[in-house]
Amino acid sequence: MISDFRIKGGLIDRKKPLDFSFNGAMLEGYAGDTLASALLANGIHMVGRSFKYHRPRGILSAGVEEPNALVTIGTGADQDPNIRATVAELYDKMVASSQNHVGSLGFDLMAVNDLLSPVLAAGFYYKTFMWPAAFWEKLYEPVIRRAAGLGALSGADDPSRYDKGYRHCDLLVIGSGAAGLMAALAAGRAGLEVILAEQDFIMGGRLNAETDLIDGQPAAKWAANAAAELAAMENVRLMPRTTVYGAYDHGVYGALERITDHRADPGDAPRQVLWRIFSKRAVLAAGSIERPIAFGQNDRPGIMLAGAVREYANRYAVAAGQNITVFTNNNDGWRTAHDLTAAGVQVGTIIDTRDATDMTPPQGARVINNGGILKTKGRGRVRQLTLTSGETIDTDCLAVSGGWSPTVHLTCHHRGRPVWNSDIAGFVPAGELPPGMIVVGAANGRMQLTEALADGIAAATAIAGDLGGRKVTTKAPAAEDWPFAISPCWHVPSGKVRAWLDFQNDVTTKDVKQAHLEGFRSVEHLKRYTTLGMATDQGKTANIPGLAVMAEISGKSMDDVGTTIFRPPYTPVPIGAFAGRGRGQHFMPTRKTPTHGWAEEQNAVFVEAGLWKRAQWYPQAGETHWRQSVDREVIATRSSLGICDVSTLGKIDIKGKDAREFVNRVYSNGFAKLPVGKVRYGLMLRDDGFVMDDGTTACMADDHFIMTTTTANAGPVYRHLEFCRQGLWPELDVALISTTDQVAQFALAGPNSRRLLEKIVDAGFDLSNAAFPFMAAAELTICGGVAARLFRISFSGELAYELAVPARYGDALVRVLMDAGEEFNITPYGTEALNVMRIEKGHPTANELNGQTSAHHLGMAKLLSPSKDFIGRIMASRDELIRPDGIRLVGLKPVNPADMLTAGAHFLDRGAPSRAAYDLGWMSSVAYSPLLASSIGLGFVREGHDRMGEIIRAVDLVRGKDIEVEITSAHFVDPEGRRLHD
Amino acid sequence: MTEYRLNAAAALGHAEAEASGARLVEDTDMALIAMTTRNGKARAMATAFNKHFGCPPPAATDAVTAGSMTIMASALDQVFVTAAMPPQKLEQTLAAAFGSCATLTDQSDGWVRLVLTGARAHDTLERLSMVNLHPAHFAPGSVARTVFEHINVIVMRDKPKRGETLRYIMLTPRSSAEDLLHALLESPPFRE
Repeated sequence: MISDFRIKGGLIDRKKPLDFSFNGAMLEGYAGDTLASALLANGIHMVGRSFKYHRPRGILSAGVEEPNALVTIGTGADQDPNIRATVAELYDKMVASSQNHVGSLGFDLMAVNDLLSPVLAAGFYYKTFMWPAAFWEKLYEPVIRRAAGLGALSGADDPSRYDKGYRHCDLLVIGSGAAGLMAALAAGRAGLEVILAEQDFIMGGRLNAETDLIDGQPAAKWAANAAAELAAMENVRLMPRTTVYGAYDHGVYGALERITDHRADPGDAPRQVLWRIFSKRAVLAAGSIERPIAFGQNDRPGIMLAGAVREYANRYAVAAGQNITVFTNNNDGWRTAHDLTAAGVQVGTIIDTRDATDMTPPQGARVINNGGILKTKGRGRVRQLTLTSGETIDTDCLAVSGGWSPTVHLTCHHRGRPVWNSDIAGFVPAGELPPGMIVVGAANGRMQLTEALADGIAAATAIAGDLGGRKVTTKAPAAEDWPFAISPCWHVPSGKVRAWLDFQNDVTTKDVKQAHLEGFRSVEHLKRYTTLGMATDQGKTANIPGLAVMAEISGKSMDDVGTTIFRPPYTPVPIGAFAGRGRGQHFMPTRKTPTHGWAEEQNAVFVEAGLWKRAQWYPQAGETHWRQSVDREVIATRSSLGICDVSTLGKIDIKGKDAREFVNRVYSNGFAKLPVGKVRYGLMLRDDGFVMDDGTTACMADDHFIMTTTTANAGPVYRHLEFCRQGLWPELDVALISTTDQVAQFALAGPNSRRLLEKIVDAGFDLSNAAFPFMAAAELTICGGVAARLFRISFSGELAYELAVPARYGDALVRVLMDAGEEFNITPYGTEALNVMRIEKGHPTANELNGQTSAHHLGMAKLLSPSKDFIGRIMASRDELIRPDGIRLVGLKPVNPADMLTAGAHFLDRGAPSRAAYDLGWMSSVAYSPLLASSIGLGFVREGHDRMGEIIRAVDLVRGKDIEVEITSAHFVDPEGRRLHD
Repeated sequence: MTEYRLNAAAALGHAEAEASGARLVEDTDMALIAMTTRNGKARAMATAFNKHFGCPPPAATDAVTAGSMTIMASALDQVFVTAAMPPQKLEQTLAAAFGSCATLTDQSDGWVRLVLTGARAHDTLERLSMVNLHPAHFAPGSVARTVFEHINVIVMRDKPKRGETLRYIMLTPRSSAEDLLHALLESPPFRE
C-alpha cells in the first residue's frame, strides 16, 4: 500500500497525529482530517459495497452528500452505522469498518448480485415476488429484509446520552461559507442577535476548500478571521458541528449539534443535542452540491467529484491520486486541474464535454474538448478510461464535475418547489419558502464568490432594517471570481454498459429508461419505482442527473419535468437525538406523594395511576403472591384498622360568595343546602349527559367548598370547572385552585379508626359519633398544633376518616399514625385492597364511570335533581339513557364458589348463543373478597335491578370462560351501612 | 394533649447542588399564598395593591417586590404571593389587606421553590425552556409560566444577591419536583 498521499499545505494540524483503524488496519491521520481524508491520505479509496449489487465503492465527495463512503464507527454497543466518512471528524483511536458485505470488503460473497443485475433492475421486487402468494411472508420478505440495509445496529441499548435544547435569535444564518459569514458579520455588527450554524467542524464552508484570495488573504484564513470577529461579538453565537435539518412553523428550525462524536473520550457530555432554534429571520447560505456525470462504469473507486478532489488537496493536503484526470462539463472542473497542478499533483488530461472553452489548462495537462468517457476499468480502483473516441487513458483518479446544484432543501420544507434555472443548469428556490427566510449565494443560484459575499451583506442589511438593528455599513471584501460557465451534459451514452445515477441505491440510466418505458414518468413515480434519491443521502448527488435523464428520454425540458421536493431532515438524525433525555423512567414525569419514601421502606409495590406512583400493596415476609398481601390488608382493615395514602385524589378549592351555587350547578345532585361542616357525595355529568366523575365535596364555609375528584380525572375535572367558571358563568364570584399537591391525605378505615384519631387530635376536638357523625367535615389541629382537615367519609364501607395535613407533614404523619396505631394492628393498604373493599361495598370507580354510562345505568337516577338546573341535565334525559330496560349496575357472584370472575366478560342468558345479539351487558370490576371467600364482581346487566337472584352466564371468549353467575345487590358487605354510621 | 409531634419535611430533602458557574438550592423557608381577585373587584384590588404594595397588580409576565413579599402573576386574575414567613402569618397579613377583594389559598406546600444562581444559570435553562429566559430578554422581575420536560414550572428572574451574577426562581408542583430537579441536574453545567 502506498502510505503517503499527503501533500503540502492544508488546514490539518501536523503536530497532532492521530491513530485510527479501518477494517483492522492501523493507520495514521491528523487533527483536522475527516475519516475520508485520512483514508485517502493512506491510499485507500475503496471503503464500501453498494446497496444492491455489492459493487466496490469509493469515496465520491468531501461532504454531507456522500452516497458511498458509509462506514460503521465504534464497536459493541457504541457502534454507529452508516456514518459518512466524509464528515466524520477523525479522532485518536477511532475504530472504523466497512459495511454491507459478506466476507471481506475486497471479496464480498454478495457481489454475486452484480452478476444477477439483469434480473434485479428497477421494479424487480414488484414483478418477481408475486407468486406463489404464500411465499411472500414466509420466504421472500425475510430473505429480502436480511439482504437489505447497509450498516447494522448493535442490538444493544444505545449507551450514549442525548439532549435537547432551545435557542432564540433575531437571525439564524445557516451555513458559514462566503455568503453566510458575510450575513453574520453584517447582522452582528448591526447588533442583531445572530446564531451562525455550520455543519462542518470549522467555519468557512467552501472557502476552506478553495485557493481564492479575499481581501488579499487566502479564503480559509479570511474565513477564520471572520469567525474570530464573530466569536468576539456578545450578540453572536457560533454553532459549529451543527446541522440545521428542518424548517418548521413560526421561524423554528431544528438543528443537530454533535457534541462528542469527534472526541476519543466523550466524557459525561451528551453525544448530540437537538436544538429548536426560534428565529425572527433566517438566511439560508447552504451553498451548492456538485453532481457527477453518468457514464459507463462510473461507480469505480477513484472516480470522485472534482470539487471534492480539490477540497482534499487544498483543505486536507491529500492527493486523491498521482495521475489524475478531469472530466467536466463546466469551468469548475478546470479549477480542480489548476489547484492540483499548483499543489504538485499531476493532472494528465482534462476531458471537457463542451466543444470549446475560454479556459487555459494548467501546465502539463492535455485538453480533450467535446470529449466523453464510455467506460472504465479497474478492480477496486479505477485505472483506465475508454473515451467515446476509443482512446484509452491510464489514470488512478478521475475528477468529475457535472455542475453544481444549489442546496435548496430547507427552502422546500414549507412546500416551496424549486424552479429550473438554465443559466446555472440547476434548480433554484421558488414558491413558498419558510416565512422569514432569505436565500443567498450559491444556494440561490448565485454561483460566484463576489455574488455570495454581496448577497450575504444585502440580506443581513435588509433584515437589520426590518428588526431595528443599528445602521452599520458593511462592505464586501475584495475578491475575484472563477469564471462560471456550464453546458449541461448529464450522461454519456454507454450502450449496454451500466452508467450509475444514484450510487447509493444502484440506480442506473437503464433503470430510469425502464421506469419511463413502464409508464412511471412523473418525478414522484420515478423516485418510488427506481428508489432514485432515497436512503441516507436522499439523492443529493443523484436527483438532478436522474431527472435530466428522464427529461431527455421523454423529450421534455427540465422545466417541464420539475423536481421532487424535500422534507426534513436534511441529513440523518439519530432517533436517540429525537428522544433526547426522555428515555426510560424519564419518558414522562412521575408524581410522588409525600409518603413515597415511607412506602418504599415498607416494600410497597407501586402502580402507575396517571403520572402518579401509588402503592398497590405492601408485601410482608413470607407472602409469595399479591393476593396474600391484599387479603391480609382487607381483613386487617375490616377487623381493626387500615391506612391508605389518598393524596393522589384531586382536590380543588372552590371559594367565593357564589361557590355554593357553582357547586350546585356542576353536580347533578343538590348542594344548595349542604350545611357548613358537612360532606356530600356528588355526581358530575358531561354536557352530553353521561357521567363524567364522582367524588365528595365538603362545605367548609358558606363561601368555601373542597371538592375531591378521582385521581385520573383531577385534571379533566379542573379544566371542566374552569370552563364553567370562565365560559358559562362568568357572573359568578368563584375562584378555583387545585390543592392536590398542597395536601397529604390519608384514609383511616376500620372499627378502630376513631380510637387512633383520638390519640393524635389536639384537645378540644370531639370525635364522638354525635359530635362528628358520618359525612362530617372540620378543620382542626393535630399533634400539637398542626392545622389539619378531617372528613368522615368512607370508600371502604367501614367507620372511616380522611385526614389531610399540609404536604410537608405527610411523611411525619404516616409514621406517627403507624406508631400510634400499633396497638390496633394498623395495616397500610394499597390500591388493590382499596379496590376489593369498594367492590364489596358496591362503589363505582373508573371501571364503571367509563364515559359511556349514565346515572340511570349506575343506579343513581335519584342523584339527578329535578328541582334545579345542572350541567348535562337535558341530555341526561335522553330516552336511551333512561330507558327502564337499559343496563343497570349490579353485583355478581359465581354460582360455583370456586369459579373466578373476570372483568370484561359479557353476560348472556342461559342457553343463549355466544353472540353480540344476545349480549346483556358486561362485567366491569372483579375482586376476590376474603370476607365472603368468593370472587365477586360489579357489572352492567340489562334490566339488572329487576333480575335480582337470577342466574346468567359470564362469557369471556378471550380467556375461554363461560361460567354461571347470580345477579345480586352491588352492596355485598354491610348493605345497611351500619358500620359507616357507628 | 397528644404526645405526638410532626416534623416538616422538605420536598426534596433540602436539595443543593453546585457546579462551575451554577448553584441550585431548594428554598424551604418560603410561604406561598394564591390570591385571586373576586368577581367585580378588579378596581378594589388595584387600589388595595397600590395601598399595600405601592404598585398595581403585576401583568401576566411580571413580578413585583414589596417589602419582604414577592408577587407574581400566576393565572387569570390570580397572583402568587411569596414571603419568607410562616404560611399562616402571610395568609393573615394578606387577608387583612385584601380580604374584601380577593380569595386566598395557602399553596406553600403545593409548590417547591428552587433557586438557580450563577453565571451559567442560563446554560441550564436553555436545555429545558422553550421560553426565552436569556438574561438579555428576561429581565429581573420577569415571570414565565411554562413547562420543563412536561413539568409545570413558574420561572422568575430575580435580582441577584451580593456576589451572584444571575438568579432565577423556579416554582414547581411538589409531586413532580423530584423529576424537575433531575432534569435541572442533567443539564449543563451540572452535567456536561
